[in-house]
Amino acid sequence: MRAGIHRTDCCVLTRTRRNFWGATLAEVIIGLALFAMLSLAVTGTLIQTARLDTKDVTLTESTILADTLMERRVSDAREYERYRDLLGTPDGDYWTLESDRPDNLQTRYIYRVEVSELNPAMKRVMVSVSHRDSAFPIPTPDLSQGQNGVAITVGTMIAEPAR
Amino acid sequence: MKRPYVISGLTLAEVLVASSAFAFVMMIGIGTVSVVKRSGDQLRGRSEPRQQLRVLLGNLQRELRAATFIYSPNVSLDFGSTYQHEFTGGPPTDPSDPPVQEVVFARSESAAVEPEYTVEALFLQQDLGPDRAYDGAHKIVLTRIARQVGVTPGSPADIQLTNLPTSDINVRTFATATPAEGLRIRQTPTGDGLMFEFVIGHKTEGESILYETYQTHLTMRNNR
Repeated sequence: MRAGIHRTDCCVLTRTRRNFWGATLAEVIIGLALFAMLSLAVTGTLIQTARLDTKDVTLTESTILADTLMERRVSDAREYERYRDLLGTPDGDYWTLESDRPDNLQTRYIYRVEVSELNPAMKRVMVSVSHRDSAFPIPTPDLSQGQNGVAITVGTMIAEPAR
Repeated sequence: MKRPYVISGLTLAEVLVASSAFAFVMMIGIGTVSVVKRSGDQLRGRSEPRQQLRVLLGNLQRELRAATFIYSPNVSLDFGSTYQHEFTGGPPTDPSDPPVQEVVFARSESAAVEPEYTVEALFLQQDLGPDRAYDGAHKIVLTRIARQVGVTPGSPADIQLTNLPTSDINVRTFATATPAEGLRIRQTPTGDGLMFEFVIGHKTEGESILYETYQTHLTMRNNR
């Protein structure tokens, strides 16, 4: 009898033992699909691990950077004259970091400071750190990173120092 | 009619082929699990020092902002049986001077005219634990001793650092996997704050150590 599926008199499909070694096309397809799924799972895990690591680095860098930039603003604001100067910061402009940083963050991040005056003795300062698009010579946020390129935004209220 | 006697079962070749196929599939499965586990371990090994650094910075931000005085001690201080450290001066304000690797500061505990102070010290200590990131890794130690009063009440400068009570010390350690020279501290030019440079490391798959540097700047708010 030849290997394969045969129609009997009762119209019942039966399978007979094949006389040669090898896999049917269906078995090969199922095997390949399983192998592809396994390979995809492993590759996906490795890619996700690398992404998580990059995100963790970005989170740490941007958090520390934003805190440092905010700290400078608050430090400046402790002196009356510089408290007045806070409003002189042009809103909406992106600024580069100092070029001699040992951590080299100036190549990857830019920042923006927004100051608003809630009342004459209270200002709100927001510092946003954004990913830098290295394709442009002027500081430009990297919009491909999502959230308009913003990595982190921190804010605080600063009261006018006593004179 | 007598049916012929049939021996059902598998041939030796079939058993061998099936065993080989099973072993092959198991090898792939175990290899996959191993790769995923190693990948997870490496991610954890890389992110743990960063996580510890973020927690340390949260502590420092809160406590250094409330600080009123930074010491320049040249003493060996004892913080209990495990933690001793040789302090060699204070953080420099001149950028041309070499940075220090430790700092001691005081923060007042109340707004009273003559408050008590909490004396805090930050320094590196070699990590000798079995879970250290690599040989030669250091952890950052932050000690805190509360309710200190100096010779002159209200003056943190007059607190005798060599007479700090070792029985009342709160010690927090941060496994930042920092190399021996990986903590650099300077004072800001105005003397109001501290600039920190933290280096954290992790072992790569090729057994080399990869370092990351983070800079931050914290200002005392309470010192005027």
